[in-house]
Amino acid sequence: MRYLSRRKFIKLCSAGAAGLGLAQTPLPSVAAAFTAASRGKPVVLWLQGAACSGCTSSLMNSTYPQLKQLLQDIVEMRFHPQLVSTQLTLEALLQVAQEHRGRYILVLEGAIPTAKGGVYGLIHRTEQRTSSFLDVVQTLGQGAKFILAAGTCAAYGGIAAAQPNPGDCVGANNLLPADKVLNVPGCPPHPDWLIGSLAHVLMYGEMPERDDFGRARVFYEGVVHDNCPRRQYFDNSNFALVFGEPGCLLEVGCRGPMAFADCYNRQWNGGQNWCIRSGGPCLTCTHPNFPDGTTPVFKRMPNVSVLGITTTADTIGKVAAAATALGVGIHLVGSYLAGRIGTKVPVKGGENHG
Amino acid sequence: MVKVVINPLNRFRGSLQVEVDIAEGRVVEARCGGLSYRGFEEMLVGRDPWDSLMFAARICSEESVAHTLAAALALEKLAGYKAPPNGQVMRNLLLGTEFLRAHIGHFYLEALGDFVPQPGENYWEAMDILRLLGEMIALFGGRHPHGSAIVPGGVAEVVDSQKVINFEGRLHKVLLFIEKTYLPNLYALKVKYPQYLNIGRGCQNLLAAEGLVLEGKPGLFLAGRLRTSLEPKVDTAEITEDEKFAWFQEEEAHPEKEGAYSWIKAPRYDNQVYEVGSLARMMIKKHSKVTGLGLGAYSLLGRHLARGEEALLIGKEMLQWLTLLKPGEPGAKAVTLPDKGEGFALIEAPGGMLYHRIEVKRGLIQRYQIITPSTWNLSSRDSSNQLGPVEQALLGLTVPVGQEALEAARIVSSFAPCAGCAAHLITLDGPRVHPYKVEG
Ligand code: SF4
Ligand code: SF4
Repeated sequence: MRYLSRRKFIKLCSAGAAGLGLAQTPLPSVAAAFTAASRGKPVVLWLQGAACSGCTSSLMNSTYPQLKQLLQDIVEMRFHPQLVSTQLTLEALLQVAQEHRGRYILVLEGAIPTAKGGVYGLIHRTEQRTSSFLDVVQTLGQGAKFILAAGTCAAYGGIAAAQPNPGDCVGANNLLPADKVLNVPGCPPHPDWLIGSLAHVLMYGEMPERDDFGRARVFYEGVVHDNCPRRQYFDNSNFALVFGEPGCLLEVGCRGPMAFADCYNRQWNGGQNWCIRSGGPCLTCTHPNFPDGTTPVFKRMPNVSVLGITTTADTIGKVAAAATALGVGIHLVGSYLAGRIGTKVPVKGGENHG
Repeated sequence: MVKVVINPLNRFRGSLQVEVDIAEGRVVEARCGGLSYRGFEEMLVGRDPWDSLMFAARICSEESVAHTLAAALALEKLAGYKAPPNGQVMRNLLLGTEFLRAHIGHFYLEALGDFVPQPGENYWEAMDILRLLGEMIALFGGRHPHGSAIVPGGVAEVVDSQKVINFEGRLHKVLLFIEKTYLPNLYALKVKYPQYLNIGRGCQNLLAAEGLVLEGKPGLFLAGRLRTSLEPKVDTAEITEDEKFAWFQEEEAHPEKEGAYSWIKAPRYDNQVYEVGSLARMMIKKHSKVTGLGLGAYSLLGRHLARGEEALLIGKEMLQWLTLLKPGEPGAKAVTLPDKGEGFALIEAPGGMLYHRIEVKRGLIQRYQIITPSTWNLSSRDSSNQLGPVEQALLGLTVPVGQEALEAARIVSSFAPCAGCAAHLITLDGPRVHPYKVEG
């Protein structure tokens, strides 16, 4: 397992089975590989900022490795707001960071409030001293070997940074050196995306191949719409107008055409279900402009203009994919969507939810 | 006098800091402060009303179903629709599952560490159960957390017998865990720490809405207020909020405000302080396992026991609900929202009473109000200097030297606090302005 090549690892990660394809290799060897690669169990410090704890909840749903294996055999989670049971203080956190300087992996969950020196996200406040999440992220970011921005909030600001954003919440990329930050967007991210991204930096000591938005390609290169089980309906213009009807979900708001994620393959919660299979629309929760550039949800995607081509949903995914391949940011796609709040988006046929 | 600041960075959800002043071994002053603010009500203004579902889910991952459901119910109220039977049953199953996940999760992840040094086998077993509960939510809700299947009009998922079987199989495992592990663990604490039935009494005013309702039947939980006697109804017009000690001024965030110490306001019912949550629900429902504790119900341990007994009650009821599902029949119906109007929902979330209210104008959200359960329990003091429930529960506590923080933290933890979602902006301004009556 020590010799699991990167190519093989990536191949296992992209397997569609429930759980990372790592399940095909025996766990002790995975754990051994981690330990060997980082000379002892790697120290992970997991911090929560402006968040709903959804990324942690999602991590806990991992089917392989399961949480127990992850925490007992693979990493040494020295700091986590829910998953470490000894009482943790700010002092203790700073001390662990100091001891393991240059070696620990910092995981950020939630966005970072930056307004007024971070007062919208304090973690400690006494007459003598006030510490904000912003302070801690900056300090710990310096000493981290890698930084995993877990979830769309930590990566790009996400929900926490939605307009009007009184706390000026931002994602890790705005604050920390991009070469150290690996984005794992998703609201929340799939546990496999989290653990797979973490595993890569631990086992190979370097970043996986990333796209223009700092995400590991292996998880985020497919377009949901292009691989959707309802795609046949779309091609035949067979649209669900009421939730629960068979048909493509475009008219009830699906954003699959602008979603880069492998949910269609991996599915969620051990393969039990996923958004589109349940009949709920894809909210394109991995998108760098989620949510301001992807709303209104539950309304048909407006026709959008991408790179000068007026296109409808059937081509937007392909254009976006091509744009990414060419190194042109797909944020173009997002920002062309008239999703900015306060303006009513011209909606075609989506006004009435059937 | 010593001042003790309880601010572990873990085990309380969201940034929560509790300060107690101790004189001669007794807590003489307590302040409970939420230290972070995201501002969902501000975010929602000007957006499409349907967007409220997606945003609401993300207020808190532990109560994602409850918030989405409250948002959907508020929209249904606005539009005058009700979900079809399958939709209602699926919603109850989803919400019930969320209760189980929240209660079990709170005990093993957040509370147990105060009593035992190292997580043992029970802890890891609980983690497996939490994963199963996540899968149950995914079965009818799309994914856990934050699926997109709960919508105005019902639930998008279509009932088929395979899903029912998959759900039921998992539910049986969860019930077994509750009976064989969770409850025995709780009652073992009662044997080991009988004194914890005597501390952390709190305000002893309890408040709950009707909860886990199916049309045409009384909810599994009943609406009511319990003080010296039981008043079996809740009227949202009696709810007011005070922001004297919160970092808000005239519906604007004001983090430099003098004298304020929290992002959490002080909601009051009929100007009184109320505790919400399992203890309130189980007492108002007169569940004998909880009322049987007498005054001991109002205690650190009483709250834990109430959650455990409640988990068993809900889990068993869910088996009944499963039999009501009709494969092949729709879970949702079509909903068209009017361009203007108001809607609200008052439901029970795992942590207690949850209120959402939406005002729509010209097809966009004009105003959105949310009062989460933790806003009640973690409330700051009000203008008449009444302390919030957690603050009151700490007051008068006799603490052994060197153990101050531990004892107080155990009391705070018994409320299953979640500071992340408790902070909110919009004030229920002035008494009796909202014309809604919720009869219980
Ligand atoms: S619009 Fe959505 S439901 Fe329709 S084919 Fe594309 S991804 Fe699938
Ligand atoms: S289907 Fe869409 S909304 Fe659902 S998890 Fe995948 S990217 Fe996110």
